Order: sequence, then C-alpha cells, then structure tokens
Amino acid sequence: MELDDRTLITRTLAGDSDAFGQLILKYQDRLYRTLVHMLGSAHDARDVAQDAFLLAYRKLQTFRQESSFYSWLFRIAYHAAVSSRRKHHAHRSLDHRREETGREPVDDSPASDPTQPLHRTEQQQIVHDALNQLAPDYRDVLVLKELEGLSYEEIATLLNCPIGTIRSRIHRGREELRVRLVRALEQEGD
Amino acid sequence: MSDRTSEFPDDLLSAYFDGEATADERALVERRLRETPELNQTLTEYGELREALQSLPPVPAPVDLKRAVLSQLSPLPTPRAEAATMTRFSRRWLVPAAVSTALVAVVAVSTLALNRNAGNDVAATALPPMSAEKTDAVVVMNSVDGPAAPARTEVSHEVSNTDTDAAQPVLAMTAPAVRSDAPSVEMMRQKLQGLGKVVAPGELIEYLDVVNEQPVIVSYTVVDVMDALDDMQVLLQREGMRPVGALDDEAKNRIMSQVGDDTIAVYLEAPTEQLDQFIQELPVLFEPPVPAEPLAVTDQPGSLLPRPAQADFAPASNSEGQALKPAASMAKEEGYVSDEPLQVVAPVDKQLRQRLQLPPASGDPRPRQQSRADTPPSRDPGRPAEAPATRGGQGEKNKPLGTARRGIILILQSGPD
Repeated sequence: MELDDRTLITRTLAGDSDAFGQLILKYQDRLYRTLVHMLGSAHDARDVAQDAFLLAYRKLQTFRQESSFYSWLFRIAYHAAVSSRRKHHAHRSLDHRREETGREPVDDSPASDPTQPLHRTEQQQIVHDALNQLAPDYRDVLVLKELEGLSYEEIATLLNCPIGTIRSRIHRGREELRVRLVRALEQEGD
Repeated sequence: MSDRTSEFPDDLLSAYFDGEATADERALVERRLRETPELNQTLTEYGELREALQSLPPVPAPVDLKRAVLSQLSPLPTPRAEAATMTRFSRRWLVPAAVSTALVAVVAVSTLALNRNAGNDVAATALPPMSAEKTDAVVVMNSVDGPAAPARTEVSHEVSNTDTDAAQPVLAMTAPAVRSDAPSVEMMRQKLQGLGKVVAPGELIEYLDVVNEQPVIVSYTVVDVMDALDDMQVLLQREGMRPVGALDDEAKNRIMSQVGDDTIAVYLEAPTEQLDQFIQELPVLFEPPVPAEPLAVTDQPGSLLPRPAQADFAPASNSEGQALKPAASMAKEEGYVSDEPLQVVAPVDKQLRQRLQLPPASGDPRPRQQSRADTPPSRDPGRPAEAPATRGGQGEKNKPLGTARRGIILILQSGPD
C-alpha cells in the first residue's frame, strides 16, 4: 500500500530512511523529466535532482507541510537548476560533454526510445531540440506551464516575477518555439 | 499571427489560450476571433504546441538515483537533540544573530528574492557547535541572495583544510548570515573538493540552501586569510566594524579550548555597503570575478536577468526607501554591542597602520558607519581610492562582486605557525 506524503515525512523524521526512499521513488521521474527539459542535459538534471532530494531531506524538519511535498521539492530543484545553469554559463553541447567525460552522454532524447514509431520519434526529437534552443527564460516558463502544469501565478511566485512578465515570456516562448518548429518541419520536408 | 495593435496586446491570445485572461480580456479576444480568422489558426497552433510538448516521452530518472541519494543521508537531528547541542556559547551568539537577521530581511528586498511568500518569523535555532579541529582556514564574510524574509541565522562556518596540500593557500570564506544551520566542516570540505580545483582568492562559491522552506543561494567569497590577516584587521577597525558583544573570559576560554590557543574569535556584523567596501579594499582580492549572470534584478523585480552590479551596492534601504540602520547600530540600540573597541587579534603592521593613517589600535570606540556615498577612503594617498591595489601589480580596480553581502561576520583565525 502506498503511504501518503505526510506519513512518509513523519516516518523519515523519525529516522526511517526507507520512507524517504519512497518519496524519492514517488517523485523522481516527474522531477527528473522537468529538469532534463529545463537544463537540456541528463547529466546536469541528475546532479540537480540528487542535490534537491538531499537538501529536502536535510531540511525536512523545517517543512511545515503547508504546501505539497512535491511543490516544495520542486522549488528547491528549480533554484538548484538555476544555480547549476549559472555555473555552467552556457548549455553544454553533447560533443562538449563527450570531450569532458570521455564517455558517451546519456541519450535522453525521444528518438532513443525503440518503442516509439519512427515518425513520431522524429517529430518528438524536433520538439525536444527546438525546446532546448529556446532562451532559458522562455524555456523555463514553457516547461513549467506545459509540463508541470503550473498557473501563471504559481510560476510568478516560483520565479519571483510579476505575472505580467510570466505572461509575456510564455507568449514569446510559444512564438519562438512555433517558428522554430515550423522551420524544422519545413527542412525535414525538403 | 496575433494582432499587434495596442488594444490587443501580443500576449493576450496566449493568456486566453491558457485560461489566464480576465473577463474583459476574454470578451475582447472572442470578439477578435470572430473578426479575424487567422487568430483562430494561431490558437490551433498553440494547442498543437501544447500537445507536442506534453507528448514528449517520459524521461525516467536514473535507476540509481534513489540509491545515490540514500547513500548520502545522515541521521536527521531531532529538535530535542538540536536543543541539546545548543551550548551556552551558542546561546550567547543567538540573540545578536537574530538582530542581524532582521536587517538581512529588509535588505534582501532589494536583492534577489527567490520567493516572495516567505514567512516572517525569526525562529530560534541551535547554532552548530564549533569544531574541535584546529582551524586553519577562516570564515570571513557572507553573501546571500535569498528570500525577502527573515531567516534563521547562523554565526559561523569553520573550514579546516587539514586534508589539503600544505602549499595551497589557506582559505577564508564568506559565512552566510541567512542560514538555518551551519553545514559541517566535512560538508564544506566536500563542497570545496567537489569543485575539482583549487579555489582562488576573490572567487565566488555558491550553493543552495533552504531557509524557512524557501530556497536561498548562498555565495562565498574566498579569501587567502594568511595574506589578508593584517589588512583585514586594519580595514575592519577603520570601518568601525566591531564585535557585537564583548568576548568575555568565558567565551574566550571556550573558543580557545575548541580551536587552540592561537585562534581568537571576533564577532562582527555590518550592513551590506560596509561589507562590500571591505571586500573591495582587501588588497589580496584582486579582480574578483563577476558572475556572468548575477542573481539580481534588472527590468523587473526579481528577474533573473543581469543588472549593473553597481545597483548591488546602493545604500541599504527598506521597501519604503528608508535608509536602514547599520546592523551594528541596531544591535547597539538593543544593547548587544559593547563599547569596547575591536580587538586586534594579531599585531598589525606598523607601516601599514601609518600608511592608512590609522589611530592606535585602541582608538575611537564609536563605530564609524561610512556610507558609500561618502568619499571612499583611500588606502594610500598616492593611490586612487577606486583602484585598490591588486596582486601582481596589474593596477586594475577591483570589480564589484555582483551580489550583495550583508550580515554577520565571525572570524576564527589561526595565528601564524
């Protein structure tokens, strides 16, 4: 039986690390997916997710549970992602990462999923690439809106921006993404 | 594409699509949709975009993520255990720490507030017990970009470099004022090691923390304390940055017993501008790097866009534009500041003192709160005040560090071996 978050938090605070493990299992996929799309890097997303879970654990006794655990965790992860992006200054390309690590990067693109029909995965790859090419300000709000399903107000609170700024960024992000996708699909058709 | 007339803002259709338009806006959009068929096409495309994004396949987390996290968990301290670790010495520092926290809370309004909904309570917390290790490195100063709300305050970090190469510079790091608890020495050591390189003086190191449920990014400025030892004390004294509360014999004895006879603690707090000035004038901090994207405000409050670093050094003010009292002044009014002068913890080079035209070490006990609007003090009459000395004789002025610094300073330093 799956325990609710409150119970898992209580057990964690009582010293049951397995309970925190259940919280990790419950939210890791959702958190990781959003981070991958925000950061454009599976490697960075893993680091940020790990840091976020660790920090959440360390601060769990200060969590008053006035919001959901995931909301709180995601706030931590979002700021960890912003910090990570600042450290890297620029999105690292796959080639760059390969040069750095000497290993093949983890392929988190849709096209790597063998269960997907070819045409669909190609289109998903185009969307994936176009999203990653957006400026971080636009990419973040689109990911938060479309993947996390946050309202403008929730995004504004998270980013500490006026709602008007969020509204404008989402609009511009959509327009830019739309243009990029149209261009990419035209190239694919040529 | 969307109508670009002033009556129909560019972002209105997108907001309408998201269900985020007001009733009046919805009426306007729906009227335009009837009049302008191409807007319907744009709406359709927005829907296709959403579908495309939401149909991106799930990206499962790495299979070992849980194991990796759990392997790094340490037992959580219970509130009772935390209280038990609160030593008499800790309690001594807690009250002035809370005073400074109130200042931090207001100053933070003008800096990056990561979350506007932070709470306003100042919770008492156990301060970390001081390390029994010999402290070779020194915590000097803090910088926190954090929520616009007070947070619990920690007094110090100690960083031991006992594992580092003896040839490496001894590091001093900024200590965050807005922290709920201090990371352990081991944690800080790991953070430094995790950088994969030897940090250089002037370098900023950041990490994420959570205070009152709100994420904050804590920045450290690295100082080679062995190089900075004399200058640091002189500058602190000249700036009137003073200990908050005299170090009585009990406190001194406790510190000595923990960190050794060659270490003396001075507990200070100062407003942002003073700490900024201190950092800028510290000669060993040459060309401190400016973050490429300082967490600061530009066009919109709270925006993550860069802004001119100069704005970070505006005199501290509250949300109503009133100048803040320096922390030391606040603390004094609250009775937490003694009239004792700063304790000079090591002999100050006489030539340096003369060069800076400083009074004797036991000089004017009144703190001198110098505004940045004042004429910047020149370290050397022959040297422009805005261009402090740089190591290597490059003569280039220190760059602003790009983030505000404020709060409490606790210096723990070892004497020369």
